[in-house]
Amino acid sequence: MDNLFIYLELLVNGVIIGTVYGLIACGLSLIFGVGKIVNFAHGALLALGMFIVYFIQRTLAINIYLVILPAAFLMFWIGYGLQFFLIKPIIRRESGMPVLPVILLTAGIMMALENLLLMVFGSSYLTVKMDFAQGTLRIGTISLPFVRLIAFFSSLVVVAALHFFLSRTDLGRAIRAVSQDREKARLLGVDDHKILCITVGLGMAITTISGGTLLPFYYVHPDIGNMFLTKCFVIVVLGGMGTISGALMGGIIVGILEVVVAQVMKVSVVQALIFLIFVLVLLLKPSGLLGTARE
Amino acid sequence: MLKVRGITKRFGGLRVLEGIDMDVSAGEFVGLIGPNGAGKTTLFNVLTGMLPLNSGDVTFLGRNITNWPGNRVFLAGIARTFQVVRPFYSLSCRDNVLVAYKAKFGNAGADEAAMEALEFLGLGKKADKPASELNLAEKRKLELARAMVAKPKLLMLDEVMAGLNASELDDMIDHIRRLKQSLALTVIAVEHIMHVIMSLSDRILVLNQGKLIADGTPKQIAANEEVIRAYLGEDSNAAS
Amino acid sequence: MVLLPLFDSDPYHIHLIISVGLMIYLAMTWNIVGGLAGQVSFGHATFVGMGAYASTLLFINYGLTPWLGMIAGGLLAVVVSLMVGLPCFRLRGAFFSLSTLALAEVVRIVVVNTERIGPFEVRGAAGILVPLKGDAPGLFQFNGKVPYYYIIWMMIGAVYYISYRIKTSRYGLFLSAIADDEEAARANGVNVLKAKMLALMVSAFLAAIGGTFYAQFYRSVDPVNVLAVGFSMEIVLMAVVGGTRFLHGPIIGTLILAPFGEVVRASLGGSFFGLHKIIYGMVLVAVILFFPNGIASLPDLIRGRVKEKQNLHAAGVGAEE
Repeated sequence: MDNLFIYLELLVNGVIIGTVYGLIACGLSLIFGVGKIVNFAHGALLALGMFIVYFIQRTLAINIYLVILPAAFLMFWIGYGLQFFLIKPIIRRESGMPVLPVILLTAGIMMALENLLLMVFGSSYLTVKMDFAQGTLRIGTISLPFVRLIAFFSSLVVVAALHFFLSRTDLGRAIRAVSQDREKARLLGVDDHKILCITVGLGMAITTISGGTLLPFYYVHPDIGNMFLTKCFVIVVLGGMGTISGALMGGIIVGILEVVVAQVMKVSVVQALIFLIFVLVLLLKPSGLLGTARE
Repeated sequence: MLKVRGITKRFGGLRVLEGIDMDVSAGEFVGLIGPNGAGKTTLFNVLTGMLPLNSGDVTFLGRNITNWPGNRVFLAGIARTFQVVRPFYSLSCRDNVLVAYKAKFGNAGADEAAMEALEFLGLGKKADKPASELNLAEKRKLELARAMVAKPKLLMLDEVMAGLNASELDDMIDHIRRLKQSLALTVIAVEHIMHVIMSLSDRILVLNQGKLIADGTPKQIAANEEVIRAYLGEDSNAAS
Repeated sequence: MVLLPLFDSDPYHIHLIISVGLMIYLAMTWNIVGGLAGQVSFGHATFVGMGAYASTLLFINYGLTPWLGMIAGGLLAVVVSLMVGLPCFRLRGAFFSLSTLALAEVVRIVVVNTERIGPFEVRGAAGILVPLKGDAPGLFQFNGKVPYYYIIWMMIGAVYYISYRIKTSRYGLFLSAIADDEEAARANGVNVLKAKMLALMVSAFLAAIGGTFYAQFYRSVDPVNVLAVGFSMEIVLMAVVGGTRFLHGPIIGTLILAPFGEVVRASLGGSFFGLHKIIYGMVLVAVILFFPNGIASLPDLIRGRVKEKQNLHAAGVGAEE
């Protein structure tokens, strides 16, 4: 009976953290699904968002949850600016999909950003001191820290909001149109470049929100970028490129996997496993679903 | 020379090609027409090994080439051009053609063959210019030069006339006729420009929504009711 | 340049030049796959690391001279390149690059967590040290820096020659076509996988030899330095900033960036750790935006501009008359 509860706790924790991962991946899924570009700086940008939250919270010494939305707003504009100033010129320049330059450009951004964070915040693992919501919910022998629950529920709320936004609003419909067929959308009068900028901004904001809710029970470190970059792509690829429900599902799978495997292996080895799974999934998924990843 | 049986191709739930049967004899000029989205380019991609098929058989010169990879199909003697022209932009015209020649025959006689192919298509003077500096008509001719230098037996043209003006069209038609004759080619051509395909083809196949709905001489096809219906409401470039 | 040691015997300068030389060498080995074939791999450091670990471990355990050990390291790298390339080359551009990043990290994590493999003590994150044997040319070790100086320049010459032979051969042509348009290349008879694999195997082999040089010069090998993604990124950076379409591109890129980076790191590195890498990243972004073909393409760009101006001038004059 004891074992059952242990497994249950693992499962629940996996689902909780998986949902948060899923939200982070949603941000990526949105950007990748609409713009069809692989942004190597995505992990570094997540780290940037988390550091911004951390920094504002430390400086103003207020409740971290109050900081998240303003930080997300800031990151929206950073994402918008990124697409507008750096990526758009390249897309405009080339006739087809300029794969190589975008890879290198975003890799350059990743390099600069990661080392900027390293320089400013140092290489230690930083955590946030929490006075708020320190308690734990107990169900039987399963303990669920409030901070995790907050992250879980806020992720669900954001996913729901995102779904509503994409399916019911004009802007959301425009975004979906561009993601399905960019040429057609443009012919129908949609400013596809602006939509892309908005989408990137939105994706960054979402990613920052989830990263922010992660902070209270996680840590932030300039290297997070690297780890989350691959993790996000594993999730997006597992769940089906560019769909929200896919990202969520993929996130939960990865979350559960991580929590379960972490019982028997070191954390870093778990990461290696995730990287391996990533490559395997890329290779094994039928090209129909994958479409964009294989010849 | 080319025998196609029961080709089916699906993209997820969408059936793009259904049970295509086709026979092409040596020396024929076969036109492949049909409304937009009928599956013509997909058929080309499947036949030339660029897309895997779900079921069916392709036999070329007695050999079963079903699911052969693209480069093997080329080496076996089937060359193709692309609907949206795809030269190697950063390479010179000469190098563009050399890629195809050397892939099949190696280094021996490469330069002569390349110049011969370029000159046949009137690109001799531009041999050392990068492909990016060519206009559309020249790029299409470059693709033809690239296709012919490896002495294919079957040439598959995908809308090679698209976007050309009147004089470029005549020029292209002339080149294709001469090409076919000098290399004793068999040609399958997808085309939207009706008067061109009608005048060049010995036989025309009509594709609609993934199925072959007609097969006959240009005269027969022009009078075919089902073909006319398939095109109604569809912007076909009959005038150009 | 070659005779520099005769004029300047400051060991720091020579050490710096050798370090830069090694980066030039590694950037050129990367360019065989990255530039010639247009396949951006972010895992090049893995091959370097294999060479370094292989030759050093063989030396420690069996006394095998690194001159031979590096061949073994090279072969190991070739085997690994087959295991990575055969599956991953089927992936489209960005996903290929992502997978190289992922696999490189897997290797690094595995090494960090490995204390020994059979008789070889890998020592995880601590890394291994090359046993000091003083002046031992037969064992690829020298007391002074000057011999390393000459060796690295010979290696650079060798990799330049090999790159040249590849580029001007049939396969070089195929690789350029693949870099431009892989599907069109395939449709015109090129065996794309075979061409890419050949380039990768050569690149991996040469990179591993560079790894042995690294080990013998710096005398210590550890995953943080030699297997890190950051190291791969630096190598890619040097080649791309210089210009991947040119054989001398990686040389120019490294000559511009590496000394600069070294100076920044030495003078400001204490208080602004990692500043040089931030600048590297920004330079890469700037180059992609403004000089997509690299700095080595400047002469062509200038020539193009001059021609434009000449044409305009001629046209203007003609119209006036």
